[in-house]
Amino acid sequence: MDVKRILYVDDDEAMLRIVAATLPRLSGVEVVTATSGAHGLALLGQQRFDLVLLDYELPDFDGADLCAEVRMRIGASTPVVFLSGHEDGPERRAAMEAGASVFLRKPCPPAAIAAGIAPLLRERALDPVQP
Amino acid sequence: MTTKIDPYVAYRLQLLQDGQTLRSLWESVGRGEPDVRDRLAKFLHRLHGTSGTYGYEQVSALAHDLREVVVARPPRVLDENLAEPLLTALVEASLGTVGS
Repeated sequence: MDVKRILYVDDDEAMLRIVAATLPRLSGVEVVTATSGAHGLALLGQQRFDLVLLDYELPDFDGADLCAEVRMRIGASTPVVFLSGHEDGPERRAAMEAGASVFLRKPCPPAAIAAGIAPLLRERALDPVQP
Repeated sequence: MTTKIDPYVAYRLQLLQDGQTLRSLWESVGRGEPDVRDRLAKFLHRLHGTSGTYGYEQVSALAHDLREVVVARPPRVLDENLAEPLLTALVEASLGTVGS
């Protein structure tokens, strides 16, 4: 069985470290990290990913704008999940309108992140037209 | 060869630095330096999310509450004690006496 690959974009290196260290064990995925929106978009042009995990507030991108850019590159079938400290307000609405699949709120323990992405990865595994 | 650092060990060191950053930002806001209040609010927003993700629930809750105060009104030098519970929690968390 293929190991699912996740791209996680966040400028908070502590968040990148905990997600990269724990999700492989909890979800059996491989995590690739990027510290900026531009870095994440560059990686999307070079590698295949099964799910994209985004922080909302990056120095070089607004989260909704980045989500729209990500969607232009990966199409509609790959899940895009936000992991954000923003409460349930305009940021969440903007993210969902830009094509986000799920909006998870920080603080979000690794087990909750794993639980949040699990159904999306299962659907992805069952999708016959995935690239 | 690369050495993998335990993220939880690295974050305890980060919490110690965060205490120093908080004290510095708090003093700058108290002196009325421009734009620092926004930086302080963003710092507390991040601290709330990341510390809670690492399991430091007390630090996370105190950072959330203090951010609410900062957003509502800029602290003055005389309000220094408002930051003290979070500063203490950060030291305790970094020493491993509470939290994750």
